[in-house]
Amino acid sequence: MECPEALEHFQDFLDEELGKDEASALEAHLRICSGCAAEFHIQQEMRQAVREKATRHTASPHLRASLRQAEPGRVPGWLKWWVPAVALLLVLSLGTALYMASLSPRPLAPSPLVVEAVNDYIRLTQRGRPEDVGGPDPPQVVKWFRGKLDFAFNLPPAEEGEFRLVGGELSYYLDRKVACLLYRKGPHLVALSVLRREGIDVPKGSSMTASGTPLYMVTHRGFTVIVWQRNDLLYALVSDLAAQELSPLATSIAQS
Amino acid sequence: MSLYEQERSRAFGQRAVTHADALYNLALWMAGDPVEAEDLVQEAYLKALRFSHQFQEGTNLKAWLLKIVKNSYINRYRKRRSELLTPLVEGWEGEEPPHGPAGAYDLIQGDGELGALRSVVRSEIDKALAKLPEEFRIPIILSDMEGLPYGEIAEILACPKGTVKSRLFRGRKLLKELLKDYGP
Repeated sequence: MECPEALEHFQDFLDEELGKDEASALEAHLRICSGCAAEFHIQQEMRQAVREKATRHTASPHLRASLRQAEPGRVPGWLKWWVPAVALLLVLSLGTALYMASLSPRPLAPSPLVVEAVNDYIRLTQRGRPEDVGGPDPPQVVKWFRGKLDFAFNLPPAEEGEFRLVGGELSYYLDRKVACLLYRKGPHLVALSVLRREGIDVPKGSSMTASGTPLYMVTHRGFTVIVWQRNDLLYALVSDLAAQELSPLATSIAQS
Repeated sequence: MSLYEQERSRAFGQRAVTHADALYNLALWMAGDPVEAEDLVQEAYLKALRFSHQFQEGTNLKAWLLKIVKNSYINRYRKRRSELLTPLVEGWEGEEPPHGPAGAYDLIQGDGELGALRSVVRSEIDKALAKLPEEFRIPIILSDMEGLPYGEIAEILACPKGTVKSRLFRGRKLLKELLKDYGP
């Protein structure tokens, strides 16, 4: 069993839901791979910590009592006062909302790729220590990823303007492995995610082009995300920098 | 509503109330405020009664109710921009107050178990959990606090099982990172 496969089976193994053969294979892998063993230890530790130490809140007697009093088909006391007022408010605000909606286009729900890429970015920026992979030298970084990914991607630029490649790591979301490269500009971090495109829609957003490749820009939860596709791969660049500051890097990578 | 319907509904309501703790726990970890959480639970409970005929007997009632709580929360706070809630635990709810950072550190040996400092550890995990983005915090609560299997969690979150596992994996990693930050 290799690392990516081991990672996929962690959760099932934790819950003892892994078949006997796969469980033995995973155990064997953990004995020889200190990286995965460390990751697994974290999973075990945190699961136990939440199970045993985190606060599991309980409903107050007052809440239980009001639930018991609530009967179907009868408006509970605590609602009676509000219902007419709320109904009036609703009618008024609905009317206003409809009017407002007719004036401006409704925002689209964020694409899953954008959501996951931003989640990963948040996770990476929470971490205080240096990133974990083959150093900042692009050939080394690409070499580190070889064998861990089921796709190949071009050599990314080591630097662009004030951006410097500082490292990367392997991530996993949308049911596939994701190569994550990290750039730094001063105090700002930028994460480039590279993943297989299969089954994922490129988000709609304002776009520009870099030598014929359209780049789509969206913001999500305050972060700038630039997405583009090349061949059968998707690239997503996430940062807290504004779009104008980030797009030179996107252009440079898209053209590399 | 016929007498039969009333009785059936009341019986269903009684079963639902037995899960009040689970519902309140999820609501509070999502909403971050006890008053809002109670509101959410009451709203979800009423919806559950109203749609009790849609519940399939033999399936997990707690999971079905938790899904209503989660959907109620999403509907209510769909437009809320910030999803990172401020830490939930300010008071100590009857626990002993924690030792100061220096005192705690003296007693901690490396990464060993912190049995003697249970209240400190609990507060740190609570704080770390509260800081987790919702996408990670909710699956971890459903899995590790409520003991739900991945299939049920996937049903509650309306996402594939693989996504649940991936969120658990990354969520726990981030949790560990956050806990490290609480060193002295």
